Amino acid sequence: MPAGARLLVLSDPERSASTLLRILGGLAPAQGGRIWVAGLSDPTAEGWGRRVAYLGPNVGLHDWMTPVEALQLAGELLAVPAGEAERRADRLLRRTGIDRATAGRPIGRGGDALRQRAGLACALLGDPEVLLLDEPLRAIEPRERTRLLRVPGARRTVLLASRKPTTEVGLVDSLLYLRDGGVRAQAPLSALDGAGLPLTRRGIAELSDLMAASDPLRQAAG
Amino acid sequence: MIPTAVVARLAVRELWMSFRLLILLAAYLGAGALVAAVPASSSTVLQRLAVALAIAAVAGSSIAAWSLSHERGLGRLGWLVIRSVQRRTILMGWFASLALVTAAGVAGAGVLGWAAFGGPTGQTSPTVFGLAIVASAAGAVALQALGLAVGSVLRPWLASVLAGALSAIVIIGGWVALPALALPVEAVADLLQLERPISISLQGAGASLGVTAVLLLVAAHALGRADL
Repeated sequence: MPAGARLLVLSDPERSASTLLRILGGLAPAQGGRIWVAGLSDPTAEGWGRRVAYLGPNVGLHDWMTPVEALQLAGELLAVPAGEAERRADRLLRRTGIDRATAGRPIGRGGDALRQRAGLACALLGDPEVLLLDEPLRAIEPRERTRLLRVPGARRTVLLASRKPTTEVGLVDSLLYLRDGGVRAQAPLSALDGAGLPLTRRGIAELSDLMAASDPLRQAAG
Repeated sequence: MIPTAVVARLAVRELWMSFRLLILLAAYLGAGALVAAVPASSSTVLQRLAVALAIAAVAGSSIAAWSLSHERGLGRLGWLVIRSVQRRTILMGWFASLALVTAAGVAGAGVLGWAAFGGPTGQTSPTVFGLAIVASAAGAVALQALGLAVGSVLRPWLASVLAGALSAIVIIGGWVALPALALPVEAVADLLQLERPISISLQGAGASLGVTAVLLLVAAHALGRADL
């Protein structure tokens, strides 16, 4: 994938896309093969956490922790200098819509929406080159969710695993469709428009079939 | 601050906020207090203290298994891993925090036990008694490592029950079925009858720490392959 791509990852069965992102993030073990993310193939390598960030449906923050504490901890673990971490934290709290009073309260009191906002802020603290978003921010109202997920950075690569592609309009510029453990389609979103298909699961599956039908190598492979 | 210390600090705070730290401390201090509160002969006090420490150690193993499994299930270990914290560092951080609480609890129970035992009467020296208590602490820490190994792979309730059951089997089995083998808590119970209490306590502590190391390697291997 080229740097700066914004890729929607869909799969059949649906869990496969999440599994792929979890493997890329170093959270789940792969059965075989090798992956390269941001030039690194080892999730335990020095600097991995500053180059790759993952935000999943369950944000693993403690209920008693405040958003400010979560960001301080993330900065400490990512070895971001204290002053710089504080500046970035202030900016990210504003960007994720966490006001000063809420930032000092335990996350458990703010419900899933606050937990996910704080999770996004922590994910962006290291200014990662690659952002792995696995069904992110589902507890947040759709329009606000879209605003939050429009993460700036022309060189930042974003992989977004989603079971509801219609909600990802404006967030991605290309798609990857996995089926039965293999890549069935990888195309820009404009390919859907060109084929007159909507950005839905069915539309993407049909695009995949159209692409397979027009690919002589795949036809030859049976 | 080194990552293990960061994780240990986080773990201690989580244990505190979830009352598990208090439960663990209360198990040990309650054991000591119970022994101290009920008058008995010196040998009976030691036997009661040993049994109470063994029960608290089983509880500690259960809490260790629950803690790691619970953190894993909630994605908190994954949150750390994605921030470049090694899985074995997380394991060591949790182990250190639990061992710290256990050491404090066993030390408190030991002081209460010493007072109940009538240490100043001169039946045994503070060094001999203290070494037996240290060996018990090492045994309890080994059972916590067992709990962490189980908690690396199983769900919280299952891990907790299984770790408790395995720990109980190890203690009861070792105590009853293997009379030639002196478990650390057994050394406390039989302190007045032992011919070489210091060497038996040191052997018990050493063996427990060896077992702890092996169990932590097993836990690290299991956690290394776990889906976080």
